[in-house]
Amino acid sequence: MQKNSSENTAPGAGKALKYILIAFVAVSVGVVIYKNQPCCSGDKAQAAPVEAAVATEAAQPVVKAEAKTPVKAVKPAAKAPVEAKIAVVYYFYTNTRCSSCKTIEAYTREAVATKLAAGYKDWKVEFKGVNVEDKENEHFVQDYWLNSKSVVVQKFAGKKPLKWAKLDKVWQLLGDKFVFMNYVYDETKKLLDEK
Amino acid sequence: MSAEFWAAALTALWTGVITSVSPCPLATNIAALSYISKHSGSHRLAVLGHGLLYALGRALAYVIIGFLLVKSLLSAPSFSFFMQKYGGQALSPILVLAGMYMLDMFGRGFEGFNVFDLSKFKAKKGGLSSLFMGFVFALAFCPISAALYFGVILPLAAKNSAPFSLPLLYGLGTALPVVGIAVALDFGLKKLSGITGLAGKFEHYAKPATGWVFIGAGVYLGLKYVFNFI
Repeated sequence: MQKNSSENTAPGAGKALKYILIAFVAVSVGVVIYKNQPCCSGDKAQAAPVEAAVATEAAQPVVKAEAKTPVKAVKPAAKAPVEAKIAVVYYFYTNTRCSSCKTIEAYTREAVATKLAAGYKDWKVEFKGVNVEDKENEHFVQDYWLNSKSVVVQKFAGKKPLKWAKLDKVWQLLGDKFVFMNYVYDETKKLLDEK
Repeated sequence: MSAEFWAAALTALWTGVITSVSPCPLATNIAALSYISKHSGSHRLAVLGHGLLYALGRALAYVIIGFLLVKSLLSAPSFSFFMQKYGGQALSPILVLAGMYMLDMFGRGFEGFNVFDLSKFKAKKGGLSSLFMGFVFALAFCPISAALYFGVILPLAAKNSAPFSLPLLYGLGTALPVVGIAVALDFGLKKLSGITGLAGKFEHYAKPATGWVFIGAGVYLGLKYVFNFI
């Protein structure tokens, strides 16, 4: 490849830089190995201060979905007592954050806080941020067939998970806040209108 | 071919472009741009050739992943999160070492980290290197590329029974902005060189600049994905 590059660099400075870069590579590799030890993979300190409180009922296993097929709702028992109807709008994230991810989170949170604050019909709607890299949340990746940072609306009757919907278009709509927030609102309403 | 297929093909290509112009792959795009552009002085069509090979490398990665998913050899969610987590982490030291190599920091005879040159296998002027770079960069999934590739392109490919062509078009789309800018820069530089008579100067500075860009991109990815500072 190229053979005439760092001629202008002072020998001492060039050497120091070389060792700094080698040290950077070595430390990077070391940190990656360390982070992936069973003891040390939590990485919670770096997690963004998203509302990560996953309520007990939300952490329950959701209705398992088969890939690409709609989920069948768990039919509530006919004579069960009236249970609280809650829809949770999840934002699933990982330890590594990006500007688009933060935008999706902010818009989703705002859509729930403004357009669905009073709930919808007899549904109470709430927002929850969940870090899927936390051990206790890893199951969400398979439960909802997640591919990336995602927004999912899950209906609950009491603690019983019902139907859910993944809002796949959030990545395509994040350039337009108004359209994005309407999309979250419309998809949530659509899901809640379903029997 | 049906109108529906053509619509899907256009969607795949455009989705690739959208992926590429988002902020997330900026570091790898700049590295690719500098690497492709540094061939400006070598041959009339060198930049276009390297750009197309880079695009082909990206497309190849997406086609292979699509094939493995279709054959159920991979689980889409697990693979997607794995690549998002480790792709950037792995790419960071590779880019730093490749940049150091370009700057001759290991000595001029050194060939141990010949990652982006592959001189033992290369065609003249390292054609394979651009192909390989495209392939590797495509594997370092960003959240947006993962979301759009696994969430939009693969379902679209399945729906249209086009498991090869749509991922291919998506891959080409992700390279299109970089290749377009590289070719435009090349054209502009050649015009400028013709006017000012500074032909050859660009190459002199482009080579070390590419090394520094690689190091910068590698350090950035390290700070973001390894140390979580950014």
